[in-house]
Amino acid sequence: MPKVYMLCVEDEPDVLDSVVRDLEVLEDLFPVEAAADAVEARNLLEEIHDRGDEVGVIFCDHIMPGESGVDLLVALRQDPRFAYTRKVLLTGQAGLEAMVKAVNEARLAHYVSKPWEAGELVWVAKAQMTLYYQERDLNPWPVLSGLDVEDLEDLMARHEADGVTD
Amino acid sequence: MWKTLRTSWPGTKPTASPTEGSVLDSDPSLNLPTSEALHHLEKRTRALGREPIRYQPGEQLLQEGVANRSLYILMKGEVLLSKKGEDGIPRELDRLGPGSLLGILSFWTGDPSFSDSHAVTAVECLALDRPLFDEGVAGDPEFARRTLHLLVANLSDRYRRVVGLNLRVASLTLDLEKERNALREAVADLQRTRNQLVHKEKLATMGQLLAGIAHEINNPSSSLLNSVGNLGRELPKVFETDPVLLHAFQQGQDSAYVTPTESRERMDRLATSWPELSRSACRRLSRLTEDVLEQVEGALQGGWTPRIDEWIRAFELGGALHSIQLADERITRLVKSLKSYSRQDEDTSSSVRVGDCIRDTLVVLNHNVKHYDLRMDVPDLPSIPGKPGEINQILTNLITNACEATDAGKRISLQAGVGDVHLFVEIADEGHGIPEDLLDRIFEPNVTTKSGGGQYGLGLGLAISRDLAMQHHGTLHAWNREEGGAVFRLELPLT
Repeated sequence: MPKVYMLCVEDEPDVLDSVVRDLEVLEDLFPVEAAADAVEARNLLEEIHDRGDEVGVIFCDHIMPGESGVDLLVALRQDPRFAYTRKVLLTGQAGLEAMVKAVNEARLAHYVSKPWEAGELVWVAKAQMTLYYQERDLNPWPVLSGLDVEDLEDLMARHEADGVTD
Repeated sequence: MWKTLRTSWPGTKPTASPTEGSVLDSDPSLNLPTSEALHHLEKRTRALGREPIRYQPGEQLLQEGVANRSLYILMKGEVLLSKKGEDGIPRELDRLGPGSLLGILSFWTGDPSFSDSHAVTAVECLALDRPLFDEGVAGDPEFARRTLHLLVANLSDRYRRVVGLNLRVASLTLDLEKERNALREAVADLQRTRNQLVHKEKLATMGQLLAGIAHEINNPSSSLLNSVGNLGRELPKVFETDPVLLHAFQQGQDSAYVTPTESRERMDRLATSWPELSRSACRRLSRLTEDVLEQVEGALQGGWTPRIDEWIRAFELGGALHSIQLADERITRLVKSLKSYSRQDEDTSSSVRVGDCIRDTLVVLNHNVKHYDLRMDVPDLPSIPGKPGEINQILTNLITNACEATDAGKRISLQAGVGDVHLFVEIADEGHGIPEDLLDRIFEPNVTTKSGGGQYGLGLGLAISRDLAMQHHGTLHAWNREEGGAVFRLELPLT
């Protein structure tokens, strides 16, 4: 059974650190990876994919040195390996144009504006992971505590036989 | 004397006395007749039984639009010709003296009078109606010759004046055109000045806003710094009884930032060394300094205990305090930069530390600049006379331009240095360069290489920058680099 990762991309070290710390509570269900820019993010995505694992949610800043967050998300949307990855923009300053592009071309799943509230990222991560598991039809049982169970009855029923172990 | 009739038209010969002879053999100079000639006409008219007519000043001779049957020969006094304009207001056409004819057109064509005529002074004139005229001409060749002479002289005089008027109109039109062009230029000039003023006003307003924001941030930031200072003093006391935890706490306070790559490597190593540990446990351990990690790994031999949790907690507490301190220092620096950057108008200081200006401007433009490979080569620079706010404005314009001309990720170099009499700041980019045809004009107002509307592209940034550089007795130059991109060099005198 592949592991489903959460990937955080943010150039500000402090902010990246807080994102990772916030998501850490889900880490044993969904491993967290962190990247300081788009290049590092792409390398990590390759690595994860090469290991046979998946990226369920990507939390991405927009304004970063080099490739912008929105451009990275658009590229991922076009990459069949990561087309289903739930894309969350985590930013303080994305202009309207960038937002439109993100929604239309990257199929943006959620927008978190900085600063976010305590627990908000975990709540978003769970909701997005739930959608990812549904779309990919993955067995939710091993990671049930990291998902929104009330939305998952069908999927749970379908994977009843798979059980909680892989 | 002929008061208003021009006898001195350029090219006219000096007045010659009319030659005696046939009607056609008249004075070729076409000047107005002498009083002797007028006297002959008067004599002849009187002989035909017609006395000269007298008019008092102000009295009307002919009325515009009214039929007239006589040809008037002005003998004495002055007559004013006027004609009503389209607005009905009479305009003075001419003033006529002795020897002039009145009613030429209406007498010959039978049309109504072309203009009004009034006596200005006491006037005496001969009025020849058609029968009298015919009789006079028929019986006296001299009368005919002199009348004809009078006519030709009057008409040629009027013709000369028309030509003169036409030339005058042409010259006035030319003057008018010149004036109109000058006016147009003046308006464009005013427009430019106005734009510059508006732009400066905007910058001044922005400066005030920045100063306001800086002030507002400063207060909570100060109180934060205060509280963190307190925490830094008080928290260690909590661990006083437990030197191991105190050590972990202090290590946390001293911990340096771990990059994502480093963090991954540490987690991988920990996961290999301690396969039974969860990923979240590995992550928590990966943040510890080597010193603390060594101790914790020693304790881990006996399995994960609550003591290890305490250890990590003390360390993370120290780390969190450290992060707050760092963040607050950052805010303080930012506020300081905002404050000194925004000192635009109430800029009373007379010396500039250009190094500080570069730093402040880069802080303010960080959101922009961080997309580029910024190379800095800025040594210690001496203070020079000038206004920091204005130097900031120049630097802001140059750096913003470099960013806008350059693709993200490419290099922007900022170099400064000191010469014998100048210091310089040079900003080179790897952008599209300045179009050759604009190189000479790039510092003129309203010249821009930026297409499309938006908040930029007013074409004033460089014009204002050069103005400001000149106000500092400095220079601002631009050229294209052979390898592509543009260079802007600001030079400011040291004293």
